[in-house]
Amino acid sequence: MTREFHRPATIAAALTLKRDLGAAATFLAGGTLVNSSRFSGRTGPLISLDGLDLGRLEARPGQIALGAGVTLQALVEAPVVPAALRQAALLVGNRNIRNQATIGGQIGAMEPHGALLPALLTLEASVVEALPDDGTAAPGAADLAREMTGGDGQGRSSRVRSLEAVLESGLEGLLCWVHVPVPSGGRGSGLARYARTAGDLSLLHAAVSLGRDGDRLDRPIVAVGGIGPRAVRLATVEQALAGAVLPAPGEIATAVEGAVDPRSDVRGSARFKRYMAGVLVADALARAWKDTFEEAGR
Amino acid sequence: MTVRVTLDGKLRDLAAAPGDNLREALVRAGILSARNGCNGEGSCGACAVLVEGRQVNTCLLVAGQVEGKEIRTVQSLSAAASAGAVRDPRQLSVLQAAFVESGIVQCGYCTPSMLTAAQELLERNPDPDREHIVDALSGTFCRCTGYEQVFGAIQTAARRLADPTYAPPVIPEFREDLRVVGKRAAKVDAPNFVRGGRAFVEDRVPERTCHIKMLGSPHAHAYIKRIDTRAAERLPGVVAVLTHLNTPDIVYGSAGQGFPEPSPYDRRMFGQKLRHVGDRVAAVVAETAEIARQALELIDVEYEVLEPVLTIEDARAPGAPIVHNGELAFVTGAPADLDNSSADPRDGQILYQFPIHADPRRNLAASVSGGIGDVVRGFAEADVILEREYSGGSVQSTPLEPHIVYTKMEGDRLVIHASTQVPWHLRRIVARILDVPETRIRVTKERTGGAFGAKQDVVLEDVAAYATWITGRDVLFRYTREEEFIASRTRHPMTIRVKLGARRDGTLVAIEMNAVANTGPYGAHCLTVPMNACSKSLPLFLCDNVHFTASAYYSNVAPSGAYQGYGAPQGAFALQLAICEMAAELGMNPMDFLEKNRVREGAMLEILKCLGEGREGIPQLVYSCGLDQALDQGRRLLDWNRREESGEVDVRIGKGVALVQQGSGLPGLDSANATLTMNGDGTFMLLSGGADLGTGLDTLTSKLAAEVLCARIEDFAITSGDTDVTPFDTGAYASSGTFFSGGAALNAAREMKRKILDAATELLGEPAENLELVFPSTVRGKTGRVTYDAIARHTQSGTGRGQLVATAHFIADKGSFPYGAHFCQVAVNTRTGAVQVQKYYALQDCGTPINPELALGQVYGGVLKTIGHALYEEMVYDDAGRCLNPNFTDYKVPGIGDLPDDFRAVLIETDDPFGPFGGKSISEIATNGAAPAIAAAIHDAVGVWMRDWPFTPEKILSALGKLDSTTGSAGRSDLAARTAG
Repeated sequence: MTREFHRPATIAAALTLKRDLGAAATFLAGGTLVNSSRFSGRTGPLISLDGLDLGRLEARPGQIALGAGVTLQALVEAPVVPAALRQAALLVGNRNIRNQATIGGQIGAMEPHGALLPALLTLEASVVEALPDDGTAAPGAADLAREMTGGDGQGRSSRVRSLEAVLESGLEGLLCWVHVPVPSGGRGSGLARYARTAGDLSLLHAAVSLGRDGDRLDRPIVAVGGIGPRAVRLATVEQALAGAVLPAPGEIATAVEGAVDPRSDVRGSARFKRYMAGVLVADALARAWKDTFEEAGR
Repeated sequence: MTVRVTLDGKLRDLAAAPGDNLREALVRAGILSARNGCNGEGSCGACAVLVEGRQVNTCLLVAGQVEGKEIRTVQSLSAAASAGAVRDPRQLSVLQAAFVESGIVQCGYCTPSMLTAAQELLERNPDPDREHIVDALSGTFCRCTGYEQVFGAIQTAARRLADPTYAPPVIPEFREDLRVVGKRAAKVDAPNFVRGGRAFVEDRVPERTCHIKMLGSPHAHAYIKRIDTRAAERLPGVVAVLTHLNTPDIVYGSAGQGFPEPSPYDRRMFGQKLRHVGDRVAAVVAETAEIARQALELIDVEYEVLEPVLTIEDARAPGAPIVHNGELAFVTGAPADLDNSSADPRDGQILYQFPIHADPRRNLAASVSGGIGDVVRGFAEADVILEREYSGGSVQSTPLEPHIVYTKMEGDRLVIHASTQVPWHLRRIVARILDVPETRIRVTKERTGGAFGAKQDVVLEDVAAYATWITGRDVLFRYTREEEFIASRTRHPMTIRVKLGARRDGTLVAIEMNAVANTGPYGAHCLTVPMNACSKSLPLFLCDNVHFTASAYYSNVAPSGAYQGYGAPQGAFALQLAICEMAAELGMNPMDFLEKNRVREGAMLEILKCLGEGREGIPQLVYSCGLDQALDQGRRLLDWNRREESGEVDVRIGKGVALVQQGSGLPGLDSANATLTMNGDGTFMLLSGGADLGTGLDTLTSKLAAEVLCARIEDFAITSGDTDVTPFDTGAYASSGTFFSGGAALNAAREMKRKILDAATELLGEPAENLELVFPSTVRGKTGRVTYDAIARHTQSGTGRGQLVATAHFIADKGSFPYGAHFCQVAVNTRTGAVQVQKYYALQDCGTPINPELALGQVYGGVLKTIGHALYEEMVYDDAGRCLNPNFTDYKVPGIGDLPDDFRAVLIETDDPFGPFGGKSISEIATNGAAPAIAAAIHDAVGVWMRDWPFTPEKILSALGKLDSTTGSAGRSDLAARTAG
């Protein structure tokens, strides 16, 4: 059972608490993952982020800035959020979960399954972390205050990294913002998932964004979830697709099957997952390609 | 710490430890409606309330997260409704009233969270459509209702909020000649549920009650070589530690069946041998749950691990490990060659009340065979013979309220507050184990938060009762969701081989059915469940030559037991799908094949003489059968012969049909009793032995009495299922409620009517033959009339004949069989293997539908459960016998988003001579159709026969040959070459 609960009022105080309480302490956002008995054995201190004003959602020039505390339901309901992200958020859990879960919590947990992270990868999202600033009484407070009010986030005690990099190496500080570039005109997106029931996790998930150069694919981005320990981009598939005429679904599926190495578990055999990864990416690509025409019409 | 919140409109300080979740804090603050269905996984939504106007799961919130926030529970709905000058705590809001009216309230455990989800929806969307409602309730898991009626409830509320005169949608009503039977009426316990009131076992538990936590076996098959509990016993707060060394060595069976049971007594409270992962090793009784958990860690056990038996094939293999190698004993009928020389005393004894054709040395738990006619001759006459095997794995009924019991001493008597289907069987079994007379024990059945057969067994009551008996302490024992999966009861995995012979013209000339069940570690229901697979399937077809065998084998997977349908879903899946396969072989439309061979009114079901429950059965005449109307209506509703196109390249559409039947209790075995007493004002107390599981049985018995006595339903207060207060009833299983418990209430009402007329003759001075009962609560003669109120005052006066009390019982030697036809249309995606149930029509003959809207709810709920079994649900084990998915994340139960696009239950009225006002059972039968109908539709769509449930995308793709190549069906390509670099 958790023995301590902290609710700091500032980001600086949260970072100080984390430093003082050590690795056992956990930042607590919405709590749908951290507080769930699925992750039993939690006994360390909790540092609630509820008092940090991380719930803002701002449309900035060229990007949407999402406070880490923005709930998934808020994402679904915000027209300024790219449709690909709103659709993905709608596939996470259910209404109760979306009312509580936050975008920051979803990134922080880095669950292998789920729709959100593949979508954010295809949107080339980046994250802003507040970093501990050792040796000061209120580490990073000034920089973070600027960041929280719309600054560039490049200050001494914060760092901007691509989500892809974060998923590879993990978070080092406190995730404060998620920056989602506003897709340039004409880029389309698509997603496809495998789930056993309507309320199921996205056991396997594919997300795609791409542009169109005549009848050829322009800078396709392909991400999958549920295949390995983290959501990942399929770089080799992206490279093979770039500049190509949209291949037939079977051809795409074969390429994807060669690019993934899933493991058998209670959710399906490796053979099935490999096959489904191909099908889902092909379907997501087809939807994204169709979306580019609709984008052009908008 | 304290957390200040605004709770239902009032500032409150919630007491909470820093790690407590909000659900726990709310329950301590008196909000009982924040229920616990998933042990904090956050997957069931039963604990949800509105925080800052949004529906969230309180088990996923640490209490400190809601500091300063507004929380609204279901109680705020009632409070708002009664906010006038005179506050009435029983006043329902428009939304709550619409829930009661619609029939969506069944067991009531999830009802408060459904209501707050609906409240949130209506506050942001005053005119929601079906899609909005699906989204709003997507986080609420309900196993009872099948959700379908919630759409009407919420939309009715929305319209009535805009227009208070808005009338509810019309539902079909029946029997114009009757006043309340066949008519819509509020379920008698529903108002309490929608207010979030006290109802369940957990609501009866006072502070300072001790808790039991069970140390479950980590091994599927093992002996306890040594167990040391001293460290646990020394832990402050530990009251007792129970093991096989200090508990009664009394053998018993956990199945709550009529005595003498056709199940072996093959378990004891704690055994030295452990037969499944989670089997009882030791129980800690402690002053808090946390101390009990800590004490479990201090118990030192040395195991001798044995090879596990996991499947029927494992169990039958020559030289297989023996799950039960104890001494065999018989109360009657011991075989002359009984040989116990190889028995291992560590395995304990197996005691049979009578022979059930078992051979535990070969892991055979029970068997039976029989038949009519001559199948050899029948198959010789056949033009086409088809033989197929069908199977289904472990599925769990997942009642939202897990098994739970609270025990206490009152003087020298033990009181058991139970969530049970069988109060009297429970009392009998516990009395045996404690070796005390039944009079020392009282069982009070509380409202059950879902039961579905799993609560027909004594799963944890024996341990709690014994703990209270030896310590004198109040004790609470509640399973976790994981324990519910691995250590309560599952549907029997079963493999059924069906052989059919038919002439070219479609006449069935021979049927063979061989059902083999995996009973798991113990033999509860091991004979009757596989037998029921045959007895509820074979009588659907009029064939002169029929033979069956039914058997069950011991293994080391999770215990099997009763589950709604009780073997019939497995049997229906096998036989109905085989019938469809035979129709395909013959080139016949399956509807034509069914019509040619199906049962009809007036048929004599000779096969039933071989299908008694461990004793000789009785052939039965079919007095009523609604299959004519069901098939005709279903065919037209689905436009059966029309080929549908999806418009999508990869999606094929198919249609399927299945016939279903069940029984209405067990004639010759079951019995029920009821008592009516007249109160001083002419109202009544109804004391029913029946066990209402949320199905509406209490409403049904009240309506039957109200009908006979020409009184309002509100004039009856019912108490049911209490061994101290109400008379005996065998319990709620085998679809007996309407027929038996209802029959007893009806007979008691008739007896009360006779007594009322007798009393009225004195007051009116007219002979009884001149008198009649008229509504409301009046006796009318030729010259005068007298109210029940006046009769009560007279009979209970110093010169009266005494309080009017009527007791009656009900038994039967005739059966009333409910029938039905289930039709479905599915879309199968040949690339993904996904199956979407587009249409599902369940047409059910339940005789006279006594509670129409509640009957519809039973059908929706039964169908959705088994759509789950057919498509999603399966307990998966590893090679060591550990269940890999004992939670709602990985065990896939259908939610509101999984409903068929077009989901209809249709009640077919028939006139049955035996049930109360012609009523037959309704609940279990609805579970029998989904698997065969969906499998048939899948074949119609894509041409593959799915003979093993669930029909997962992986299995469908495999059947379609899509997974044959590890690199997919497209082969190598330029793109793949570029990908490979």
